[in-house]
Amino acid sequence: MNPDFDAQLIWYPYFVCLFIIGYLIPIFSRTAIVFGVKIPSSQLANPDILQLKENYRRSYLLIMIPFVIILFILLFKFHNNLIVPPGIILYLFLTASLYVHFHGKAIKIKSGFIPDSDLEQGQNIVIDTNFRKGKYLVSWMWYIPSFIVVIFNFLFTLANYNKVPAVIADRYNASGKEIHFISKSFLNVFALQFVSAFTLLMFVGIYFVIKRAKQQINPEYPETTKLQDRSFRYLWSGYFIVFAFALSVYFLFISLHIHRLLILPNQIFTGIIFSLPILIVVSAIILSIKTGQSGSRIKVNIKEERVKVADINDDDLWKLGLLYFNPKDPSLFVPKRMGVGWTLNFGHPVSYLLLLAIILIPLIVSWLK
Amino acid sequence: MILKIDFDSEQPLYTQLRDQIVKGIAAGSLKEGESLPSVRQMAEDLGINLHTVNKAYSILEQDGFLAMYQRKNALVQKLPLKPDKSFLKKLPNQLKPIIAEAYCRNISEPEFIAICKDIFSSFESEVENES
Repeated sequence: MNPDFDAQLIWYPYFVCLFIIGYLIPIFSRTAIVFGVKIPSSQLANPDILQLKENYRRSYLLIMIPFVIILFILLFKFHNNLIVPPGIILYLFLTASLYVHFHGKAIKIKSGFIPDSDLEQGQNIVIDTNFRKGKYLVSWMWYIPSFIVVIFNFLFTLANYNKVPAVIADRYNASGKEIHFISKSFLNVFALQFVSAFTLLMFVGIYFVIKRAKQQINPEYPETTKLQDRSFRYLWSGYFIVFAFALSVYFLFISLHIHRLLILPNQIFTGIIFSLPILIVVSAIILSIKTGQSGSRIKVNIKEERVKVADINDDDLWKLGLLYFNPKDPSLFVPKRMGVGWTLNFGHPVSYLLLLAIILIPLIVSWLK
Repeated sequence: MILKIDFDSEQPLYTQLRDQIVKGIAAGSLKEGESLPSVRQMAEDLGINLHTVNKAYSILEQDGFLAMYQRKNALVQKLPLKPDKSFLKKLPNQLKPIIAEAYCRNISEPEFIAICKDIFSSFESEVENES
């Protein structure tokens, strides 16, 4: 089997995952948000809104199925990795334009709604002062095993530095054969340890984002949505702890293998390299389907009567229903409008510093190398 | 407690926040010794300026509802609060515009008193339920 052809295999599941995520995004999002537009609860069953969602699904399949098929044919025929980056960019462009189109339509439909006279009007925000008490996050102590693995990885490599061969492979083909080597140096050997430590610190950062991010409570059902948001944070904090641990172990094995300190059979080495990222993406999709954004798909065991209070209409603060821009809001992290998870407040100057740091630090390291 | 802020209201945000917390304490949904979120966390959750929350908390501290420890920890104080003569002095002034409007709208004194009684008993029943 042609090993270069083999290496393409990794991209097929990725594109299938991308395809599924794009299809599911409107379903993941909170129930009151339709293509980034806040829809009053009384209008959620509005036929125009239901039709809009249906149209999205139809257009998505109509455009994206041929796209993925063509991409797969090209990948299969030319088995060239260069197809992948433009493929991803085109994918993002297509889904983004589709989304923006439907976002515009949702705004139009909303402008025709008459305010619900049943509700106490106003721009209301509701929070619970006890939101961050009790069990709403998995304990941060569960990060300790990951730290132990990362530190062990560093110390063990340091102690066995002499045993690392003079040349280190830095590229492999799909069957686990070395295809490119670099000479041994302190930076080359410990680059991987650095990446491992950096990702772990990022995960610890995510944990505190989950802790601190703005509460997502619907004024009409405060108790239900509060419990949902809390379970949502609990499940995702646990997910990231497991994810961080798996990655630390992953980096440990890769590091030991490429530095010839523990030689794995090639099949097992490539097996680990290929399967873990896919496992992580697939489990994230499954968890997203289970929880929905801010726990909107989690069932909670309480019966709550609807409180007749109108939610805030903050559509203007969400550019294109995607980017939160509110200079008056001191929070850095807010729940995403579309999709699952959290995003930055782009009206806050620190957001840009954070983005810059996340992009620059790995760049600097690879440049040093 | 569940706390609500209305950005459309004529009432400034810090007085809304103050009033909500006082109501919560009276109704027993905020109990003695319970801690409120830090100034920063409260401001982020509500999406309002830190100074606004700080102002509300400072007033509540001055009036004896909260004890503050370094802006981080705001603890609800025990009821009844220490007697404060200035409040009794302020009270008629604060009630005057409300009663004046009620008078203009032809709401009788017994009607007005009945509403006051209802509000009082809503707080009392809550306190009884808690104990």
